[in-house]
Amino acid sequence: MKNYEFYGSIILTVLLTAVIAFWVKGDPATKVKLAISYGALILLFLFGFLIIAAIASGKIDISLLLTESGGGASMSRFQLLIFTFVIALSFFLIVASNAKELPDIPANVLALLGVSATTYGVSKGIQAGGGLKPKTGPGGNGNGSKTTDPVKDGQQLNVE
Amino acid sequence: MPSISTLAFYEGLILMVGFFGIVFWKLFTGGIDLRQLLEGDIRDANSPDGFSTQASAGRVQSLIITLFTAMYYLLQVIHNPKGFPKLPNELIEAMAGSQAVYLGGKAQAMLLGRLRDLVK
Repeated sequence: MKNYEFYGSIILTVLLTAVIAFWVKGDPATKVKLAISYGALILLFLFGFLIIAAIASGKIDISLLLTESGGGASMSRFQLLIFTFVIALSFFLIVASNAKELPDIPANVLALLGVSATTYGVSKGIQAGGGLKPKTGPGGNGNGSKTTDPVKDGQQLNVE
Repeated sequence: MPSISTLAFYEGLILMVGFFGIVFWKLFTGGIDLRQLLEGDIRDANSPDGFSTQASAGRVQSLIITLFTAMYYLLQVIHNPKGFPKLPNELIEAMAGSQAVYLGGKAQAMLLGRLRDLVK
């Protein structure tokens, strides 16, 4: 698989790391430490940016992120998404304002995430136990993929 | 050259805003399907596939409690970003109760069907 963005990110990171290692003043041990630290940060950012760009361009399809197997949006998925965003944003804000150490996570925050994740799990179990067949949605075949292949879509071919 | 912590902060900020922004943009423009968020499937003997769809009060109350808890928590963090705020136990209990009502309603609808059909 040709993934030029991936290789481009690695090459860019290596070049920037080399620039830092050669041009920054200091003793060799400090230079290596700085080059590795900056290199890891740049590489992580570029990988994250690649994923965001792929989502924005539709290369990574998240249109069925909240859709449950029977069709329609899932409330349990929606609330898990909301709480994941809230906790992630809170974590970032707290770490940004207290850069010296990672914060302790109180038990009731874990309980909140636990309630949310358990709801999602139990909801999936009920959905599976109910025996509701996946519905065909717009542009989809009900199982999450958007193929136009009749064999993959479960249709029969008429071969005469 | 920016310090490592400054660079990490701005990188994290760009990635977080980018990711959340794309997800919310897709939510608002319909790129992520939110249809039937407040409707649930229910077992129905008269329907061809055995299920029909109806408005769900359990989903509505779950949405309200979820949004209230999320907003409350986020405002607490924005007000004092020195550490994770402690949530009141009552709020956790309300959240758990709300999810239990939602799951109970869903289990009844998916596994048993309408109550009025059961007592016929």
